[in-house]
Amino acid sequence: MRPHVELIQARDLCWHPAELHLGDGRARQINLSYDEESGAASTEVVFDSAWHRPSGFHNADVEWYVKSGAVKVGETILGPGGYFRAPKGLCVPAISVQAGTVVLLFREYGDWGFSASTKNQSEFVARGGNTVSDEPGELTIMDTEQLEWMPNLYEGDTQRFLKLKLLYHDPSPADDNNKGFVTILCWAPPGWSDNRMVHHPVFEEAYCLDGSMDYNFGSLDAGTYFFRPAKVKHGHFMSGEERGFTGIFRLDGALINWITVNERIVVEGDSLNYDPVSQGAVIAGIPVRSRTTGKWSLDGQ
Amino acid sequence: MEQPQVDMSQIRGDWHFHMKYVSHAIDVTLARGMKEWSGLADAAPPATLDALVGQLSAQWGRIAADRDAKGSIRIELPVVAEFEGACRATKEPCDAWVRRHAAGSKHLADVKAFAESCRQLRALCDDLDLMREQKP
Repeated sequence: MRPHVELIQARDLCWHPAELHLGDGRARQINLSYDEESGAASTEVVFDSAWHRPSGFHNADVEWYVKSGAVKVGETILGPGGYFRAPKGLCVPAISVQAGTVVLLFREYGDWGFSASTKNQSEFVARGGNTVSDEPGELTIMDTEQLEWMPNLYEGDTQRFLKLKLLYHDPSPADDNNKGFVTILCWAPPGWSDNRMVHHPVFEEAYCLDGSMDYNFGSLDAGTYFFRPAKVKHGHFMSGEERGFTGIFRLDGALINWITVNERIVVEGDSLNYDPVSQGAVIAGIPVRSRTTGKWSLDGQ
Repeated sequence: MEQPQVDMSQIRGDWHFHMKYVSHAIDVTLARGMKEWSGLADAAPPATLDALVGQLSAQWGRIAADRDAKGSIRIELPVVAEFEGACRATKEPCDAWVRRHAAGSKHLADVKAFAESCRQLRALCDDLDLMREQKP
């Protein structure tokens, strides 16, 4: 289970050796979110030297998003905005990375393990760890900077004005919102707002790539990140001026918006030996924050 | 229990509130694009883009200056459709310009930034279409 991280700034966090098994070269990572049960993680990786790894398959569904520098996957060279995804067990071509490259590396439904190979792990490789599809998994590679922004598919109302680039979509079946997977880029144009609180049946994760947005958990700007488990309310959005807000989002199912208005929380009890104003207990479930994002104002609690 | 459904095809609330949001987003994004464009004189900008940038600026100036009693732009005016056409026509010359600078040009990042502003304007044109369709 990943903890509720909301909101952290990546530059506040410490470095770890990169979990890039069988790679040749020097790389380090920031752990944005880490599931100590499954080994799933979301990390920002800096390659301090040129780095190379032979072809092979991962123990997890793996996604790379290139923030800066260059990554060569087989014969395809990805620059900033480059993206690839490989499901667990799928043979991925050899990868070479230019020194100084920075990558957002996400893995799901498995740990950091990697086996050198020229074949898939098994005869059939599933699309992903949360799929219901019978279709075989495949390597997804794209240059997201070549894609046009599309209208938000997921809801009418004010969220209709958000813009998306679909990087990976494993559709949920009609009877189960909690299956499938979505990875998107989202742009909230300058001045976009939504004064409601929403929650989803699935987890939602985002890393801010550009611009800014204020919302109930604080200010999203470049390098901020959240991992929000299913059913956590969030909202009161106001996108920044000049650039709006752009982030990469991941969700383990269908992005259904359940809306709350007039939200309130009632906590009742009598203090016996403390001042309830200055010494009152905090609610359980305060999300992980970092020093730049500071204390949560409790807006939207 | 049957879940309440959201009508995906409709925006709700005050049309003028949404229209002002869309026109503001275009104002800001166009201004950013113009600022980026003004710094790209040394990057051999294509003549077709030069002409389009001039059209966009003039067309949007006319659109923004002519508002209804509630302060919304007049979405039904032909100049709005012309503005959308000019925005959408930036795709090909922008893509070609980025490709031309792709091999290590010192201008690549700035050209890409301008191309992204144009891409965002094209996306906002979809909202102009939506607002025209749903004008009460």
